[in-house]
Amino acid sequence: MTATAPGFLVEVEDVTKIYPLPRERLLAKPPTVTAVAGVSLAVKRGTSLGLVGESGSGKSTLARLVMALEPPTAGRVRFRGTDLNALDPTALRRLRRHFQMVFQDPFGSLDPRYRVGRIVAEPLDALEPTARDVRRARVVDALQAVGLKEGDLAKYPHEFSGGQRQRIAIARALITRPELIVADEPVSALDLSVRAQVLNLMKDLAAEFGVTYLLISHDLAVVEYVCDEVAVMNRGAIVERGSTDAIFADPQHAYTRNLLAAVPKVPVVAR
Amino acid sequence: MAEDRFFGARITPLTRRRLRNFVANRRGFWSLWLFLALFAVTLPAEFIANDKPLVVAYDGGLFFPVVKAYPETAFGGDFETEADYRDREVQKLIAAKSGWILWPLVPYSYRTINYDLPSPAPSPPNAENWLGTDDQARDVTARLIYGFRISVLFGAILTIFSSILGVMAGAVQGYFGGWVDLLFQRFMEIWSGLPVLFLLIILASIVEPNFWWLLGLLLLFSWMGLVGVVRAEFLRARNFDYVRAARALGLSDVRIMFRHVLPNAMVATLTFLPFALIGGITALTSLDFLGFGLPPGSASLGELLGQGKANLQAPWLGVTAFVVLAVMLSLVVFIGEAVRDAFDPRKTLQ
Repeated sequence: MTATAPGFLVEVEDVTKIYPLPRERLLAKPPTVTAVAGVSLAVKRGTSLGLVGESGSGKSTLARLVMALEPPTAGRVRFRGTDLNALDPTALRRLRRHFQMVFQDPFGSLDPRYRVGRIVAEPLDALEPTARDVRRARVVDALQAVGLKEGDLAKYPHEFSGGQRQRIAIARALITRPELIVADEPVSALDLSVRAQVLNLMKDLAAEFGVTYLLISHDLAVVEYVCDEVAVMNRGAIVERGSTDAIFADPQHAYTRNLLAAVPKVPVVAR
Repeated sequence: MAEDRFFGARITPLTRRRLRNFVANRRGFWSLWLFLALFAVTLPAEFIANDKPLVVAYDGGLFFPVVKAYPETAFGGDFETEADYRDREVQKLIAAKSGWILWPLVPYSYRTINYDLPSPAPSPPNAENWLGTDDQARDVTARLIYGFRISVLFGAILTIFSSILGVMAGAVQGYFGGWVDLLFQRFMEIWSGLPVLFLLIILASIVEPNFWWLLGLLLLFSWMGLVGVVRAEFLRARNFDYVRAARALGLSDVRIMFRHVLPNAMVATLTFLPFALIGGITALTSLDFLGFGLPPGSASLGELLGQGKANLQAPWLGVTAFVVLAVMLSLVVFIGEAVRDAFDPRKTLQ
């Protein structure tokens, strides 16, 4: 997919998200927690962005804001120049075919009641209903793109391993040929051994379909492997941003340095 | 993997396990068959108990009075009105032209008045009226058959409609949550506080309640039974990952509710159904007993119970109504228990 419009796929402008907490006293205002505090960032077409930070740094909230699953308390989220939160619900729903999502837990994100064929076809059925044979061909395409077989169509999610399920989830996100895929910790629920497979797949798909990722992870290695750019989040704000190579080679912010230093190094034992 | 099929429909291993669990509850299983048998027998009540013959042969032709009304003149009589086949004169007319009459098993309808009773009504059981007659000389057996049918049908229709309404109301509350949920819950608290019985009594003095009036009126209040369970299931399921995923992927709310959330609530709903059926039957029976139910003259178990109370010297009325109600409700309870077992995820087969 070639970039027709120059510039940015996603623009996040000074976005803040504040959640109310349960009231502590009856008449007092409920306390709040600021999950995202005035974040601005932009994702260029074809330049995957990784969002890293420790737990509670607001990266998943930011992902939900980009997906327009929640409205921001302040600020704007624009996708292809359209303010997502200004759209009416139906228009927003239709636009969703261009930005899809992959979730963390592949055991929870697939409805156990349906066969893989139906799960993968679901966004297609909802957003651009097509004829039976076209639909089937596209489902098979999507499954093959993620390395699954046509025969897997009639199976249930529980018949697959975690890595395979995450592939199914990726196939489901791919089927509407989106420009952006927001992946929230896509490999953190997977065994170390299958992580590489899924990450390789994501890289290949980016090249093949021109998908841009917004990848959220607490694992620096994952982001380093897949993304072109990295943004480091801490306490709801972006503290550092730059190309992956630059940040990993020469972190500027103290928090980034801490984060990098926290990655355990396997000592090389001399024989 | 070979596909598992049940009456031709593809079923999942889970469904198969539920079926096995249901069958494993022998009491519930046999209750289901017995109940279905009773229902199947009473459903064509007009062919089982009727004061019109099934077949009449007369003058070389065949007549089917059950399904078609013939004037008495068709059998050589004097009147243009429909023939009264219980009338000896009509029977003589038919016999005169080498005809014969095939009667249903019980040759009385629920409103047939038996004019030649051996003792004053209510008369005790005898070979002609197997369970005796009520105080208006109507055959109790026939009234039971019709009464059973109307009770079950009323309960079933009420259950179906109140389930649909209840599931929809619970679904909307649980799925959207927040203010919708809060206001709806408060509304239901007020609504459930309305005195149903008084409303019915007031209404009975304005209109003559018939089957559909009563159904609608009871429906106004019975739908609330299911809301709690369904709402709870929806509140739980709307935070499931696959429901969130479906929302992020662009599915509409209705689609998510029907395809991903509702199946979770179906187990609770189905388990509830037999008990809702009991509630419906009991409600109709008690209204009939009090005299605010179906219009006077209709066959109903509640009315028979009322007659039993008014005629303690004729115990066959009260005893019959009691036994039939007790058996019917017990069967449904047993079925309900088996359904509950079937859907119990902790129940495993040995």
